[in-house]
Amino acid sequence: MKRLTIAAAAAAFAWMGFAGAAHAEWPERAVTIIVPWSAGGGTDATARAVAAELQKRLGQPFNVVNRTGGGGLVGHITIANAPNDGYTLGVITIETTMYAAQGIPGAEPENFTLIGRFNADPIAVNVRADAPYSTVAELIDAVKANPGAIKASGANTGGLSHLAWAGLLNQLDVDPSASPWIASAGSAPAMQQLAADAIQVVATSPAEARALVEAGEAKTLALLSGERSPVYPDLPTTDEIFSIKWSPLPFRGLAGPADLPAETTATLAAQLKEITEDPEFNKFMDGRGFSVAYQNSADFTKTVSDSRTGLVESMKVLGLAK
Amino acid sequence: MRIDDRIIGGALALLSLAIILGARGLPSVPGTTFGPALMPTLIGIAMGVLSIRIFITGLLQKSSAGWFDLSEWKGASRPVFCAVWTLAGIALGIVLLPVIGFPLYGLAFALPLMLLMGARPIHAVLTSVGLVLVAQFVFARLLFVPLPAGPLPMPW
Amino acid sequence: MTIDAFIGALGIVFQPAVLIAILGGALYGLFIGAIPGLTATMATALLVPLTFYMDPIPAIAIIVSTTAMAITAGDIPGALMRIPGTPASAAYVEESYSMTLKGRAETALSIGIFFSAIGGLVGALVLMISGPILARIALKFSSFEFFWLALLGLMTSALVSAKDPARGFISLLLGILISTVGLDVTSGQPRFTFGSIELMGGISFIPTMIGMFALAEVLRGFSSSASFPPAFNTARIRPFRGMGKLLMRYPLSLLRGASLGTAIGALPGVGGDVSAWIAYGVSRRFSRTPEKFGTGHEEGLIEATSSNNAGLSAAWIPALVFGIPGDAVTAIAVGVLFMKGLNPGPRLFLENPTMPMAIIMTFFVANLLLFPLGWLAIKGSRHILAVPRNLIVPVILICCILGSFAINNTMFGVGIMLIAGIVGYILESNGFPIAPVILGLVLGPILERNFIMSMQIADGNLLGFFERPIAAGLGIVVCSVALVPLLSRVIRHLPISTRSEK
Repeated sequence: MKRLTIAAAAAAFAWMGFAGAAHAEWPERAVTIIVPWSAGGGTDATARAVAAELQKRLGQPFNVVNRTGGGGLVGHITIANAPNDGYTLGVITIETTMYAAQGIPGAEPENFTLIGRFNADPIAVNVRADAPYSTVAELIDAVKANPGAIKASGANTGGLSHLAWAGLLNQLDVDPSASPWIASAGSAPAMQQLAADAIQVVATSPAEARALVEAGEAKTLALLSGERSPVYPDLPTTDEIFSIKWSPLPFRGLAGPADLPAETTATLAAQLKEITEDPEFNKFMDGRGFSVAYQNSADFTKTVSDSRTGLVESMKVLGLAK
Repeated sequence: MRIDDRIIGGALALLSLAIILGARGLPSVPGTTFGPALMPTLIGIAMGVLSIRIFITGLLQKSSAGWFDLSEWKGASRPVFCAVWTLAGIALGIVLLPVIGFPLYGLAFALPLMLLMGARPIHAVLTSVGLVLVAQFVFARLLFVPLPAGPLPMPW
Repeated sequence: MTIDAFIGALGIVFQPAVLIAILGGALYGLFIGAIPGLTATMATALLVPLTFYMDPIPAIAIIVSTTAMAITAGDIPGALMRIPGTPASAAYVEESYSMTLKGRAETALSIGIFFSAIGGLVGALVLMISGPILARIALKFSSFEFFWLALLGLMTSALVSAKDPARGFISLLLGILISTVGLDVTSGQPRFTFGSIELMGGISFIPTMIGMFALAEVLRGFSSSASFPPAFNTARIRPFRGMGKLLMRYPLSLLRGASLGTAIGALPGVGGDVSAWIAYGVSRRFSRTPEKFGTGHEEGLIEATSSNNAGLSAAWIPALVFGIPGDAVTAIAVGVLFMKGLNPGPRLFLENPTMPMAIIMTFFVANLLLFPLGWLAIKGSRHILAVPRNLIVPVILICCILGSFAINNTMFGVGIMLIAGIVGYILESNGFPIAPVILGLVLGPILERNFIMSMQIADGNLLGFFERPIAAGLGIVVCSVALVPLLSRVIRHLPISTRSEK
């Protein structure tokens, strides 16, 4: 009886297989999208939204896989080392411009095919809702008054959040070590630390701080940006408050290992452009507080190389580069 | 397989020494006080202390079974073949499976093992063929994990 | 929660589409969970593409019922073949397998499913009544508290799973050591990777667990020290027989397990894996017959398995109330909620209370479904034990290979499984327990990350670990758990006069 069932099932499956004959063009099977950051975070959420749209448009599953660890390095290296047949892609972030300066090769912009950028959100300064400072200037004064007392977090040591916060202090002629950096696995655990009153500052995008801001546990003081965000028009920027120029802009972009087939890249780039113009996708991004900032492959490549130059210089100044 | 506690204790002591030495070689990161070496060092120290404890237990017991007690593998030779086939089969599979594909490998691994363990040939053939087909289908179609197909063409 | 929200939620949940989603998810979860090597997380991840096409409540309902069923069903290969489905069920796999060896597989399976379901129902009830309050408390936990809690879970596992605590702790340290392989979580530096890119990604617990439990068990089965479960001696199995009596005999175990599970499970990140261990440890500590633990005794099994499923529901508390996911499953679910425009957070509870209520209600339905489906699973499990060993062992081995392969679609996982199997076999033959290795591997990074964070915050001052009230309390518990066995040993060796003072 059992054998019969198995045989019947096998025959049925075989028939189903023949019915779905092979396609000729990419993608003819499931595509994996590697996200170097943990599930539930901003990169993960936006990557899943893009993957869902790609799946809808290209008719094959686009499976999101989180490969986390080492401040995004594990995932980025996995993308760079994947076979360049177009069946393993990934979402890369600004950290790719920084690993080499930290002395870790293998995940530099040259190791990827940059397909296009779909999001770029500036870092913000977030503090506890009951913190005694209501502006970023008061916070900086507090750092100056009590060196070592105000601890900050948001990502791994040497990650972009760290660089953004230390760079801001440096721009304002405050020794960055006056506000020690606490290494965390990402913005979510850092926000938990903030809510539990173990640290005082979290440098992360306003979207990732939003749930706790709405819960009345945290408040966002200012954006580290050159211009105000259309999503948060009321948030002041540190550039306008302090008359400085310091706007490290993290990006999220679709990429694959170096030397992807040209047709695959072209198909993906065209689809990505359409997706970023799709009203439903925009509604989702807006709903979570993420901006949609599309750049085509050429512009994205230029953005990446510009950020690399700027960031590596700041890392050297701050003693974070080797 | 029982191993004398003196050997285990000694091996663990060497391991903890290697951990501590390995941890000392880890680079510290610019800008941090508590770096990647802290945790392995603590593990190494704790394991070192406990390994001495195990070593002393071994000294006090003075086991009569010898340094390595393999009595559970003595006797019939067929179980030993089965264990060797299992371990060697998996080890070879790491190299072979991507080349010859899962269906062929699965059959080549499971069928002889079933026969070696004394299954009736008809049962062994039916079970292993069914297993390979069902697994290949479930993974490819339901779990989206395409297993290497190899030269045997699969209908899906 | 208002009555209106409750009635509204009833209307949402009791619709054909939602009920079909729950039933479908439960069947799928049963299938995945019962296959050794496939996990609840994997089952959930595979559901995500499907949820794109579903309405929000059915989408969440299918995830809820899949995970509840997959985790409960993971106890089946645990009880029958000593292959735990999750790190949490590793806490009591020894107990339930001992029962099977004594020919009481039916009871072991019945306890696993019956008390899981009741624990899950209690957890859902707590979630409904006090979700937001528990979430507020969970938010008070910083790295200091998480460090102590992780340490408490780890120490309990080392103490309860070995006769000789020293061996338990060595197993634990081995697990933590394996977890340090790869890129360091805080600094991104490669550790013990020997230049291998695959080792940089770390050693995943799933192939390690498959190898150490399943492959090692197969190897032991070939040796002459093997012991096999007898076939079911009754031709007719009556699932859940005697459960009512057990419920009457150990009501405290059930309540304690479920409440521990809910309280610890609500803590993001640590909860799920630790609670079953702590529950098992507590059960043994307060039992009148602690010597029976580990030999196929019901008490600890009841407490641990009910805490496991209660924690499963509770893990949704921080996810729903603050959007902080506690584990991979809730992280995926949070992503699905966002995608459906149901942004988790306090605003969801204020603006649209029917929705969170409806989500919690799906927990009730899913856990109630465990009774009939579990009944069927127990009925069917007779066939698993009836299959001759010479057919089932190769099938298990193929499942092990495929489960390890599927982690990253590479043969690297199979290599890990093979080495773990050999190491696991040698460890167990020499009295070193396996379960603490797995828990150490799972909790090692959490322990380390929170330790390093806390050290940085406290500027290296160890007293900082006792400065916050909850941290101090947990710290004292951990220290006393560590010191009591040591002190009692010292006291036993002292002259009788001092002992009588105690």
